[in-house]
Amino acid sequence: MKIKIHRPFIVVAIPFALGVVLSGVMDSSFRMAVLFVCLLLFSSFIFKRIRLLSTVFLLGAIMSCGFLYTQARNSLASDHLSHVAKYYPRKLVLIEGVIVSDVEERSSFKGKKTMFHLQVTRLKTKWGWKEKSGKLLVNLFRESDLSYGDVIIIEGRLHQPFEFSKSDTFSYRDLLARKGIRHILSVKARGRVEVIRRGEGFVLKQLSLKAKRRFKNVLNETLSMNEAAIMRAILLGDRHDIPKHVRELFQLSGVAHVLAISGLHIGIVSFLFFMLLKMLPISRRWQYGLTVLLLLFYALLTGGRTSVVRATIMASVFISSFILERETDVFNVLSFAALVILLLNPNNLFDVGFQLSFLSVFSIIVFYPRISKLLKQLMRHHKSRGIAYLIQSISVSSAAYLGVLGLIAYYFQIITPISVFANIIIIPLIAVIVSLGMGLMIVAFTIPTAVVAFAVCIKLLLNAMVVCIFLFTKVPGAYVLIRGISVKVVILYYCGLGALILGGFFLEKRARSPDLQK
Amino acid sequence: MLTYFSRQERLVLNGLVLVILIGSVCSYLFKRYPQLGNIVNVMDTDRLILKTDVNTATFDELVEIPYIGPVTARKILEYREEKGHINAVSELQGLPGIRDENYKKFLVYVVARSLSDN
Repeated sequence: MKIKIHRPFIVVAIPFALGVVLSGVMDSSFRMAVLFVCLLLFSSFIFKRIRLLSTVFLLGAIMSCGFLYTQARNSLASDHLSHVAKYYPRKLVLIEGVIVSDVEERSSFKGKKTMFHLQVTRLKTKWGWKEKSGKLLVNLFRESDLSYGDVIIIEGRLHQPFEFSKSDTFSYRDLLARKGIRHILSVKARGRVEVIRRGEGFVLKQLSLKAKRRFKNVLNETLSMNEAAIMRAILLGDRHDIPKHVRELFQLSGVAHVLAISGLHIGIVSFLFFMLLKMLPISRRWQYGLTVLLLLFYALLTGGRTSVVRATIMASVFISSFILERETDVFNVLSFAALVILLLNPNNLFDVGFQLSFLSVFSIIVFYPRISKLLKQLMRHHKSRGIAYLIQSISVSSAAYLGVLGLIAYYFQIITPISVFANIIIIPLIAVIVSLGMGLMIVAFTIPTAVVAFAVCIKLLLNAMVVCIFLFTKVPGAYVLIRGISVKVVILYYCGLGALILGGFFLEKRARSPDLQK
Repeated sequence: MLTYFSRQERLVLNGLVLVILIGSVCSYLFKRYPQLGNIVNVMDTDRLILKTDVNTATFDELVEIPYIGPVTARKILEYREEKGHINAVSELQGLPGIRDENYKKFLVYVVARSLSDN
């Protein structure tokens, strides 16, 4: 008997995402949009007996909801700081607010600088303190002991984000705007910073940031500067300290994705959490439940980037399906994750990380079985475990690459055919390195004397991995730099890919159905 | 006894034993022969830097190199045009408009390949 798979989240996520896209290109009145949603919902209700028509109206309502939700989220409050920022050009302003992000120390041309996001509460004006709202990025050009949750008064100059990049496909201003930041407060080394209260933040986030800081210290103490920078990227999500030449090697060989926390990392981390919990005398359900909780804590610790959130949601749903003893469908779970991320912030749809993360997973789901089948047919005379591993690795790698090729060519202006082969070596290496990194963290807090063994193994593997990547970049035709790929070309590529998928489905359906064959 | 541990537990224990074995041996070797540590630690050296050839690089490629701004890039191109070919990177040291401290910083990112190499 053929079982029909029910995938409600795909049907909701796609029109919702379309609505988000429309809000970026269309200019419509908010009231009109509300009216439109109500009308569509009402029509869906009225025609509930004609199921097809009712569904079409409902999908229209969901799409309009995506539009409305994005418009509502991007609209500024009447007391938003952006409305008055223009009155303080190049002037010093005194602002009160709460630190709502991790406080990061980075190096700048003026020495060390401290960066954080400040949720503004008040602004000092000629007429005294006024209540204000909005979020700022603060650049404080000195080291400080500030931390998440501190309520501070700070004096600096307000300005719009500068556009550093010459690229047409990247805008720093847009990147910050997607996070709700429209202005930067630059504070000189001698600028006034006064802490009024501490510990105002969300307790769990405070705990996760404390843990992150301790992990960072462990990595800095046990590894060299560059090794620690790479480990901080793949374990904690901090990529800004990776040296330029190493980052370039990863980009040219098409394996830069391993520097971002993604499904691969989350899979390994969940396995390790689960193995640790297995030692405790608790039931299997509790082990699964606690693994999900620890994963959520880990996602919080890594700063909640879209790829981490996507992977955490997917892993949590899969683990929960064991607890609830229910079957899950991977397309449905992927769409659910997309919907949650868009509800958290619809602007995430325009984030490169979001697009690459979802497209690669989607592409693996669609193309992996087909490429694998094709390769197995080609290699049917060679049956060994090594060949099976090779087929599996090449299939996953090329499936993912097919999905992200258009976007990578557009955003990064590079095509890296070598990545299909580089991933065969780099992915297993990174899996071992992540496991060792997690082991190092656990050992550092339990048996500090054993840290050396883990650190040495990490050092060996990290350097070996970078040497491999360096050698891959030296292969003739490893990468091709391309300039000026237009959006039209990218759309054309994805239309072609879509046609390939649909054609494949049709052919498979025809092959399965004896009636159609006749 | 062999069935005492589950498959995953055996995997983790094997991994742990391997880590302690490799870690202990290597840390002993690194202490005994410090030069070994230098060979392994390639990331903190300039051995893996993809160097740009100053004889073939365009203005845009030169500007992409750390510590080379538009002024320095223009000076390099002017010098290359004037001389026809740069035989060694050291020729750039002391050129008017290229500061010595800047030269020392970008030195690791550039190379002057000979005509036969190109």
